Amino acid sequence: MSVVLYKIDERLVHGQVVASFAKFLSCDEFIVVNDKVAYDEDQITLMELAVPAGSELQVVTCAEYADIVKTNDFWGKKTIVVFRYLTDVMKVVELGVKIDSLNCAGFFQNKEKPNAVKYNNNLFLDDEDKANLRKLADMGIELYYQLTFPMQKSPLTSQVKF
Amino acid sequence: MTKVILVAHGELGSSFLKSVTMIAGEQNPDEIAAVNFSPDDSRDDLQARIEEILVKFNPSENHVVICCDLKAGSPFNASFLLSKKYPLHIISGMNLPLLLEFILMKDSFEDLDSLNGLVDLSKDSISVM
Repeated sequence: MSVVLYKIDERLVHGQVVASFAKFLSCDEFIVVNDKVAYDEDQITLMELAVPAGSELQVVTCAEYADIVKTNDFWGKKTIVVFRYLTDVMKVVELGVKIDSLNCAGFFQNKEKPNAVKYNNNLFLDDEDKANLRKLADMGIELYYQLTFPMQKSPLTSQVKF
Repeated sequence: MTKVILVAHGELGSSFLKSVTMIAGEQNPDEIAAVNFSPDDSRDDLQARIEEILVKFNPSENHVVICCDLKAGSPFNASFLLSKKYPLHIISGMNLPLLLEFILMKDSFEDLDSLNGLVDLSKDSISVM
């Protein structure tokens, strides 16, 4: 039982995550963490359609994810954890979850963040995002950018200064 | 009347429409339309563009079918969420044989059974020689 990837992805579990990361990392479980999505039946239905046959899916709140870690209640051997927003990562970290590294290629254009600046197609960040990224970096979490799996990891700071 | 919206990654939707035109002749834009999805579009943008055409096609009066490229891809997901709000059917995994058959016969496709038949036919069109 291990988390093989922590990723921020506002599109949740979708093509790039399933076709690229899940395949290359041979993962057999997806956990999606967001307080609102955990109760959104339509989004859960869509993700059930997206995950490969034979893989597990848990869609949970931030507090529930902290419990999963605490009680080691993973359903698969290799798990990909997807956070919808950076605020979900902040909550989970505050609840004591240890994260070594975080793939940040998944901040999309979003009407709730009208002041976000576009750094590339997968990085639209506002000032609050940058402040939160700084906090995570200060905690020693490796923040990196990797859009699909064959592409090399690069430090997030190569894409944006924060 | 049956109306069709093609929604796919990149410019596949409008490319499919062009190929359909090449084979089946000029199509009426009030009956068939394409929505493209570029890498920097948000899901909200995509959904809003599909909805705009959907409203124009008047799904309470007409039978509207959205054809998507990939099950659980963003074009499909946006269409799925719209299907909670409007009466419509979605076909995923569209191919050219499916679209040609559909467009040539579309006014006889009124229910889910006939759409299932159409999907079976498009599966049969895939072969190794």
